[in-house]
Amino acid sequence: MATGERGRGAAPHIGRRPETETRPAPDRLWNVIIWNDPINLMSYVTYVIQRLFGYPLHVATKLMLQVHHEGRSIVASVEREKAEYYIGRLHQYGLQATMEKGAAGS
Amino acid sequence: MRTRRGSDGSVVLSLPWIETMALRSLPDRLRHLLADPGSNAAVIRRLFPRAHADEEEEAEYRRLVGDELLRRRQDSIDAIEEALAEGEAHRTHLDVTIPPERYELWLGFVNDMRLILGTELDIRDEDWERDLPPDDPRAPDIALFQFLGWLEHNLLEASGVPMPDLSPEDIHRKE
Repeated sequence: MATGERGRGAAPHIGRRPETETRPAPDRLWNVIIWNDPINLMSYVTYVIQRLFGYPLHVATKLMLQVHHEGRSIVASVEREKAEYYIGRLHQYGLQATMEKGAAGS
Repeated sequence: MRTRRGSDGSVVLSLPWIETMALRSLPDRLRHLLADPGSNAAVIRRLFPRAHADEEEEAEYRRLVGDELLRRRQDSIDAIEEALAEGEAHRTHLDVTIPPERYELWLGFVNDMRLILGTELDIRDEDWERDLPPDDPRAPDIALFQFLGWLEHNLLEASGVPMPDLSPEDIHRKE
């Protein structure tokens, strides 16, 4: 399996699937999804995305606005264990978040 | 309310006494809810949302992280109560120091209380404040909810993490 590990803290590129650190086969990836809700502040959601995933402000803002306008956003596609970790943390922060097995092109 | 950031990364919150009183009333509310989850199922569902559509997967997730999610909330209650008890009292306000390692417990508590009140107030869209009657019987909780939004905004501004600068077009763009 090819390893495409990025350096820690390297900024992800917009438009590219975020957080694909070790690049397992796509059928082993799980999507981490944040869902829109009417109570959480936009600034709070942007804060959480920056803190948890290490994305810079403009990436976090873009993902937050996607949640706001489209109802949901895939914020990471990672291996199952890591997805579970992220979901637990997002729930700790009070965000509505689910994980689902990634489908090609999703 | 004012916030400022100390040189050691702590956040100092200056709370007028009326806001201090409001804040002091809240930890018990969360504590009672956690002690008796059956008392308000909708709020508990909002505080502990699902991770999986699949029931079996969901049960496994609960088994793995359920205790941790509960413990975190209990820790946040302790952090808020301790900080309020140890605050520095002035004539008009209380100065509360939030050290960096407790900042997220504070933020999480304030946000949890917004989720609890917002769910109890049945807030379903972003425009919920527009048509509130002036004599709404829920006025005390509405005021508390708005106060917590302001407090959360202030905490975030003092966090040191950059905040988005959103235009009205960013917020209201329709698909």
